[in-house]
Amino acid sequence: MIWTKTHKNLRVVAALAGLGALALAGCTSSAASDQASGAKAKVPLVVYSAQGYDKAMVAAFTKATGIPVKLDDNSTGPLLTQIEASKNNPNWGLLWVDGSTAFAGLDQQGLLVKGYEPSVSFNSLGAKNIPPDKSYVPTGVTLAGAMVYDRTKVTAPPTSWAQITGSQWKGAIGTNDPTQSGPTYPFIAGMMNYLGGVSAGEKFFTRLKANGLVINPTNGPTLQALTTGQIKLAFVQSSAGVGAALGDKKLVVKYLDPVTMLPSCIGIDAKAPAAEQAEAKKFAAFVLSAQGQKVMQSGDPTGDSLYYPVVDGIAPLPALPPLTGVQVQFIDPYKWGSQEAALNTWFVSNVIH
Amino acid sequence: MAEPIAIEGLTKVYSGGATALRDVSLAVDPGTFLVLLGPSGSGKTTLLRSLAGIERITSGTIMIGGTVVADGRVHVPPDRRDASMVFQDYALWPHLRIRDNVAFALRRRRVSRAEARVRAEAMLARVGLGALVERYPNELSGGEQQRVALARALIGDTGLMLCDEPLSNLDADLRERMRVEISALVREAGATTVYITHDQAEAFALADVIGVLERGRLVQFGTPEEIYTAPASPFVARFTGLSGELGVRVLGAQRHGVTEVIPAPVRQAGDTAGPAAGAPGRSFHARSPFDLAGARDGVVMIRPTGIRICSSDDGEHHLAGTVSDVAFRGRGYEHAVDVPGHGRLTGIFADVRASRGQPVGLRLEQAGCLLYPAGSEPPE
Amino acid sequence: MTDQTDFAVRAPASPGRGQRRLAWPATAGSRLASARLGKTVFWLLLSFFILAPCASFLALAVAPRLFSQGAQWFTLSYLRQTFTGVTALAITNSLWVSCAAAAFGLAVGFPVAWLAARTSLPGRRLVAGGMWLVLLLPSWLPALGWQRLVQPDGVLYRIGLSSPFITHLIMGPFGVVLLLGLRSVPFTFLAVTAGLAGLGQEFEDAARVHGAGRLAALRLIMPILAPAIWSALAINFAESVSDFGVAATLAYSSNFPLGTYQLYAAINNFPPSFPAAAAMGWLLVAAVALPLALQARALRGRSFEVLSGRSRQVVRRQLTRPGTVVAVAGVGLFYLCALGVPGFGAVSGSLLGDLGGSFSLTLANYRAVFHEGGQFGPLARSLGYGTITATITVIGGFVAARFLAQRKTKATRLLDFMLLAAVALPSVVFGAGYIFAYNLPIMSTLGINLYQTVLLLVIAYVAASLPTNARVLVGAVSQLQPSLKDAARAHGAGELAAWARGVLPAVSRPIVMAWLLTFCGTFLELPLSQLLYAPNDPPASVSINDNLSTYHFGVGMAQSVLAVGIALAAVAVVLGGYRLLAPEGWRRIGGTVRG
Repeated sequence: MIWTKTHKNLRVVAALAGLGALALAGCTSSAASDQASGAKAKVPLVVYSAQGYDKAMVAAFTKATGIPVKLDDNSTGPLLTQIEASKNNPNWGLLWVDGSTAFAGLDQQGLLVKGYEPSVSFNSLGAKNIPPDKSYVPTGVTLAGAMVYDRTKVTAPPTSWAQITGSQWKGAIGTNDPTQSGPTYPFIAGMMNYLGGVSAGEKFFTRLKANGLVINPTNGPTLQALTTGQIKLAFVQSSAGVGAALGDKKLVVKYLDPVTMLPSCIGIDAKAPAAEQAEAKKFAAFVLSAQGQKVMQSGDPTGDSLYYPVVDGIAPLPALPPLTGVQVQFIDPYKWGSQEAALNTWFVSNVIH
Repeated sequence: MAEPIAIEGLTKVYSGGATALRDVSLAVDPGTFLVLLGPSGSGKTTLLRSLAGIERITSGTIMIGGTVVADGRVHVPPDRRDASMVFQDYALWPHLRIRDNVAFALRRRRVSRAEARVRAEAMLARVGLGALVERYPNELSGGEQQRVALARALIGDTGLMLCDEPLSNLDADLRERMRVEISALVREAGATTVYITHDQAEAFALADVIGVLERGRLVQFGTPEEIYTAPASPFVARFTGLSGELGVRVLGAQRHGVTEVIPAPVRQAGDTAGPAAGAPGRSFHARSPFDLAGARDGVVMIRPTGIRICSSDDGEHHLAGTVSDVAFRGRGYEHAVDVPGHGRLTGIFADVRASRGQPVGLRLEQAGCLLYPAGSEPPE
Repeated sequence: MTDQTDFAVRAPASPGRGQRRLAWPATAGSRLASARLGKTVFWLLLSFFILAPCASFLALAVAPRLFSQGAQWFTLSYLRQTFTGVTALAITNSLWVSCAAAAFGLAVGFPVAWLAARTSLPGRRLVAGGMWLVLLLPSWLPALGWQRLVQPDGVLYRIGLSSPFITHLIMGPFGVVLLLGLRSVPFTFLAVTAGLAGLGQEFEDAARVHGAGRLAALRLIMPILAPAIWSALAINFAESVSDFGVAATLAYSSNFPLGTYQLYAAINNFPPSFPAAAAMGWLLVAAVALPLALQARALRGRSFEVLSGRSRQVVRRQLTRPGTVVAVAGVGLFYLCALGVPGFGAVSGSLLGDLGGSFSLTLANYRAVFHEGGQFGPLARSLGYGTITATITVIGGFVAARFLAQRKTKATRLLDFMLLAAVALPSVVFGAGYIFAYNLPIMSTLGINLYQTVLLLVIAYVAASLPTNARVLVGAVSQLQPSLKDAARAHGAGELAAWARGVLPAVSRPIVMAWLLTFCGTFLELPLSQLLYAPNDPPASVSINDNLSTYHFGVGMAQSVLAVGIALAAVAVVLGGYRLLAPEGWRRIGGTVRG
């Protein structure tokens, strides 16, 4: 048989078409497997989570209920990006991150399941954080803008917010970049809320910047700046601060009055198939149950497990400073969430650079 | 103004240890056309580059126009030697138009820009490129580029002109035309010229004197006629055009530069043991311009003019063989003849065609046969 | 007077008479149909995987509503926004830093190339190999090495040599320029070396003989190198502007915003905004495309190629004693900064504990990489990605190179332009385009569900590497004589055998080189990996950067060192394997690219 150029070109075509077929196969296979598993076995629940104890929770949930879970553990930013990017054809079933403003934003786009009320009794912290249309559920509370310092180096820490713009703290204060650190925007919004509005807040932060405010990307680097002596006061998320204090006995966590609430929440994808939504509800209920709360408190003992529970009858881990004597501020995520982009941009342009 | 050249004991050793030139000495009068002839690796390029000053010498002296331009200590840089050069690869600067390429050579004459351009265009017109002055080198053919290089070398009216195998990159018929051009233009300019080639026909056609180089040594220096009729060694003879070589035994004494010899077949490679094949052949006379010093065995270098075909059974022939190849040359035929015991002799001319495989006789003429002692030099 | 027309003959090896294009004969007759089909499929794939994603993403900047990313059908507000605030700062930074880096690259690369090509510099054979090594490593690796060295609580601090001056110097614009500049040196080196190859000694000799002094002769021949110099500057600039590695590591840690990272941040930070990212994409593409286009236009037509088979062997200039010392010291200093210092920073960083502040070496980090879950997996994963990508890309690149080597038709010119544009496209823009395009409604309608799958990541790798690969192979393929294959066919070989025996050996070396280039580029690739990786399956670069951003410096550095080790081992295996297994004749071809 004579191999002609026809055959050679056909081979080239076949190879290239094969590549294209692979591409198409990728899509159909995932779709098909979803349908197939839906018909026979349970639909896997896709969980997007940024929480440090999510792996432990997922394992416990699957063990308790037999529902398979596909966990995508990442930081909040990339998770939100994925949700934003794929909103025409979402892959996720349940989102579990810190910060209610993100959920408010998703709700305003109609991406969340509304009206879900788990049958659990919330304490005062929890009740405050339930939105009117019940599009998301709080699972725990940390505090934004907790103050951390080294007691051997700082003997007279400030006792109010006004004091930190004083000259004695010049160049000694550090916090995070709100575009990269989720827990930081609530701190900024909380200050603005407390001081009476956006412009008052902007003045405050501008004064801080003039006083030599040091910005680092996230909790970790800010705390590192504290331990290496670059800054004397770090304003970070409470769980990160307490976790650092657990490791280094010289560190102290103190809350200036008022401190802003930062709830971790669960929201369910409105476009997910009904079976998956049902599973997601079961997951949320499990998290809020006594068993789930135990997992939450043991899954990341130096990090996210250091939260204040929102459910009655569960006590916070002993390392956490008590909330007595401190006013815990609630900010409306719907009001402040919509301004996040603008305020973050203001902050980056005026305070960071 | 043409300059005389004097080279004394020139030696060049490269840093790797290779010796390119060994103790070369020669002298030429002003206005002479000297051709350096030799195979590749013989050192002619090195000698030329040393004259130009782009190569430093190891020892010896070079004098141009009576001034020492190079010896072991002194080295006059090339831009101060009042020479010009035509390169084998033309070396035209690709980013300059050919007019500017040529005009560059007038810098050393301190000629104004405008004047230089005018003179360059005139020179280009002389070499036949007047219509192409605005072109870039890569837009011209090989022959045209060579003419530009020539124009550049001539325009400066330097005392010494150096040519590095300028025709080797050209087609055969173009080569011949360009050779005539170069010869005419250079002699018109009257410069002392040193010209390199490995083509003996070209060398003979152009030269006033020829220097033959072999492995870094100057083995003969003389006019083309001298070199052709009395090559100093078998190497020079081979390099200047042979039909073949014949092993011989010396029969008589050397008398007035002529000796009688008889072909003595040598064992061919691959011959089985036993006496050498082929008939011994008849004796003949060969010229021996140099002293044979009583050698018994010799080798005769046969010029194409010294051998012709005759019938194999008329008793006039000195050798007998079989035609192995015939080539039509327009004005006759050249034959290659296999002679048992002596190998293949080529370039044997005849008006009439002998066919392949035909047995023929070969007749040797004294004028074209040169005798050297055997073993005077290992064959190439 | 001679007759000029008689001299219009075919000149052999006519230097500079345009390169003789060895055009592959256009297919004819009955084979036309399948050839057309092949070409159509190729163009379809090209459009699908390269054109469409980028075009739809860039369209977002002005028409966000088109893809439901905003309210307006047409708006210039996003483009306007990029000229304000941080993005303007970032783009400005990118532009001036890239200019400085390009100049630095030229200032260092040119002398090194000259020394290696034209003088008796000792160790000059190692210089070229070293340059390839610098090129193969991604830009973020040396950046991390430097950073780990000088950062507060870094290696220098641990040794007790910390200097705030050096820290501020490196962790700032100077450090960014230094790193991008060091990265530009190999590009300059390659461009200038190629230019020098075409610069025979005879040009300088001719000038000297005809009256020019040493300096005047150099001035005369410099313009012959001009195309190489302009190419080097343009490439340096383009590579620096589109660089993501230094932007995401050193520049980010130093709070020095650069364009590429800003684009990434617009997508990945709070809250994500695709139109804003797309507007930045426009600026980045313009910043990269403009110099390349100018350079292409400036060089068009004026071929300074004077390669002839008889170019004289260049006589190397002997350096004097002090000259040699200075030259070696200078070249050594370059390699020290490009490889030595970051290597030291990375290796020592991997041997130090994260806490403690002392300089006590430990292998704990390496143990963690091997025993802790999720630390070695990314390295193995990237190894796989790199191998698959390189193999597919080399095949596709060869096919594309064959199209490019054909007679210049409109189609091949278009392909040439598109591939050049794709080379210029920063990976960040490319990746963002993929995220965006593969989440469009039409994709789910078609049932294509590739976002966040490994398949999409590999496709992105292939699509991003193919243009460069094709251009690398074009040189070798266009020098292939079509008669090689015909000769094999005429002497009895079947189609497949004719290709395998007749043609491929002649290009085996360039193909192996192209494979290695793509492999190393993909193995340690950052921007596409960062944007498109499948959740829970991070590639090596993502895992390393994650570790570093969560302050696990030691493990991150250990992973980096291991990654480099694996990459070098792979290179050694492939080259060694080729050396041992390929018939000797294969290796001799293609060694020198000169005609």
